[in-house]
Amino acid sequence: MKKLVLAIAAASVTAVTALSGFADETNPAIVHRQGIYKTMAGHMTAMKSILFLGFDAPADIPFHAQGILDGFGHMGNSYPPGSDKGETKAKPEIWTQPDKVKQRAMDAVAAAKELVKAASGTDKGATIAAFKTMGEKCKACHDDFRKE
Amino acid sequence: MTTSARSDAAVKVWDLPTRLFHWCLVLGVISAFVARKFGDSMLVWHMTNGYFMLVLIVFRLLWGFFGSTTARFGAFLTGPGAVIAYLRGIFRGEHRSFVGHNPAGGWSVVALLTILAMQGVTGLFASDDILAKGPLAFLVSERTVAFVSTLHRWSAFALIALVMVHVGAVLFHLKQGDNLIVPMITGCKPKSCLPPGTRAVQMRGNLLALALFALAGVVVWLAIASWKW
Repeated sequence: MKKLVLAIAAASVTAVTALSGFADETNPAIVHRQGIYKTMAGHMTAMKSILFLGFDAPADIPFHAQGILDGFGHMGNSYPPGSDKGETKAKPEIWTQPDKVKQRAMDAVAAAKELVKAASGTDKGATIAAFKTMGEKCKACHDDFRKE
Repeated sequence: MTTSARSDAAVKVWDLPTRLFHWCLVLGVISAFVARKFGDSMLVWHMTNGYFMLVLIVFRLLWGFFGSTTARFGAFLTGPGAVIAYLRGIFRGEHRSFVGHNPAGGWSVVALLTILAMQGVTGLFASDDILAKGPLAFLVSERTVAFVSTLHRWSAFALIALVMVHVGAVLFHLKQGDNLIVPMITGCKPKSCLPPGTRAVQMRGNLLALALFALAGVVVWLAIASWKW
């Protein structure tokens, strides 16, 4: 009986801990930030379907490339003070190492501009290369500033 | 190999499949890290590498039941009592030799296989939220993908820790004059390094291993591909 009670207690502690990790976020700054990132991820995914998975819509590529570039314009106000409080994968270093964050952001914007440029052309190979570089720049920042 | 061999004669303890498996696993773990850290942003190589690792692990599980004696779980997994007694002996400075895995080493094999299997399976459902998505991520909810991806990243650290323990133990034995690295390459241990009265290890054929490896490949392929049928 004692064992059973202990097991139930342990299970509920685990469950509550796990559930709190999935709680909906209500901090408006975090809601906004995640919305912006999801928008950009959506453009990346849609572009992947056209460039790699065989979805036939080459004319849509410039739209998605521009969407990614535009998304970066909405990142500047995505990390206001206090937006580290809540369910977020943003590491505290974002607010303590602004210069490094800025460098990563500038790299990514440069890659997005290259992607827009390549997407306006007809060379699919160049678009794919620019797209992969874009992915690398996303990853570089995630590796530094996104929690595991 | 007979027991009447000269005292310094080499005795075959690890079969070729087990050795190949071991070194493929080493390469696979290194290549997984390198591909994740420096590879292309689509993680193509990292994922291909993962499928290969899953096949290796399924093969090793099969080989643990149908392989040579030293490769069998039933032969090298002991009860907790034996492990504790062995570790106590180590701390007392005792030196015991074993044909294959020692009691602690046997369980470290299980730990490594478990964490690697976990890495392989979580990878199938994981996403980096940029371009890479595991082939089975479409089966589960976004929250599950996020959770599993976190697990995948964290257990990489657990894997590094286990590898360090493993390498540390090998170096410890090396310092004690027990070279475990050469036998994992050549398959043979000098007779002087084996417990007295050791009988020859029963070896299973390479062809059987090849067939089991192919079977493992089919199992992994079915486990991944059949969800899209």
